[in-house]
Amino acid sequence: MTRTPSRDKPSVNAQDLLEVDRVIHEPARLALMAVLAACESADFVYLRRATSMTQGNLSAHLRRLEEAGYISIEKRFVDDKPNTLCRLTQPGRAAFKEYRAQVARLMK
Amino acid sequence: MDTSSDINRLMKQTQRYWYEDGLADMAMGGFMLLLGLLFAGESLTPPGSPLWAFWGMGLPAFLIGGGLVAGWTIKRLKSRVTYPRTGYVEYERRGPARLAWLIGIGLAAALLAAIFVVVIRWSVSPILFFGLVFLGAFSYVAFRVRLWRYLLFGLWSLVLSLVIAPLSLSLEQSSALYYPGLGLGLIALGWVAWRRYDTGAPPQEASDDANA
Repeated sequence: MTRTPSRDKPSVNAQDLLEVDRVIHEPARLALMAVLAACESADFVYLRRATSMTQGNLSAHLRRLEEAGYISIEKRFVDDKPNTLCRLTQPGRAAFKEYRAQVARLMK
Repeated sequence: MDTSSDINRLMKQTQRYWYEDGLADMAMGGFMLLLGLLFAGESLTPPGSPLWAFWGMGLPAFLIGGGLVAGWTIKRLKSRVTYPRTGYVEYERRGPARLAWLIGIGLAAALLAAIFVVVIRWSVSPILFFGLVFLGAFSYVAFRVRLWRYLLFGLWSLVLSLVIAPLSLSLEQSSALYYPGLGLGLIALGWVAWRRYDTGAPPQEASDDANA
C-alpha cells in the first residue's frame, strides 16, 4: 500500500531547502543573527541574556559565525573589565536578509 | 527558534532594550519639567521686561543644550547601571542609514512646523496640536517596539491637552502646565519600568565576559 501526498500540504521545492544557509539555520545561531540584526552591535553579556545560552555554547556559536564572515568580534576593556563586542558584517546582514526571504518563500 | 515570529520577537526585544530600564523616560521627564519651568518663567515676565531677550534666546538654547545634556546623562547612567548588569547594545547606525534617518527627522519636523502654522491660523489651541503630535509619536514608538506604556503616555498627553486647551490661557501659560504634566507622566512611567528592571536584574547579577 502506497501513500499519496496530501493535497493540503504545500509543495516544498527540495532545491530551495538545500539552498538554505546552514550556518544561519541552526537555531542558536539564528537567534544570535536576529539579535545582532536589530542593532549596530551587542556585547557578550547581552547576547547571553537575550538567547539564554551558556557561556561556552555562546562562545562556540559566535566563533562559527565569525569564521563564516557573518560577524566581527572586538575584544576590549570597559572599566578595566574585559568586554566582547559583536556586530554583523555587511555580508552577515545580507545573508540574514536572504535567509529570511528564503524561509518566507518556503513557508508560502 | 524555527519560526519567523521567534525571529521578530528577538529583534523587537533587542530594539526595546534601550527603554527597558526606564532611565530614558525619567531623563526626558526631567527635561520636560525644566521646559515647563522655563515657560512658567516666561508667562510670569511682565511685558517690556529685559528678561524677554533672555527667554527668546533661552528656549532654543535650552532645547538644544538640554537635549544634549539629557542624552549624555542617559548614556552615563546606562553605562554605570544597566550595561554592567544586562549588557551593552549600540543602536547608532553609521553611513547612509543614519543620513536617511536624519533626513526623515528633518522632513517630519518641517511638516509639523507647516501644520503648526495652519493650526495657529485656524485658531485651534496649539496645545491640542502638541497633544496630537505626542500621541502620534509615542503611539509609533509603542507599536514599533511593542512597548505599551508609550501608548499610555501618548493618551496621557492627549488628555492633558484636552483639559488645558479650553482654559483660554496664553501659549506660555498652557505650556507651563502642559510640559510639567508630561514630564511627571514620563517620570512615573520610567520609575515603574525601573522598579521592574531592578527587580528582574538585581546588581549582583552584574558580570563580565572574561571567558568569552
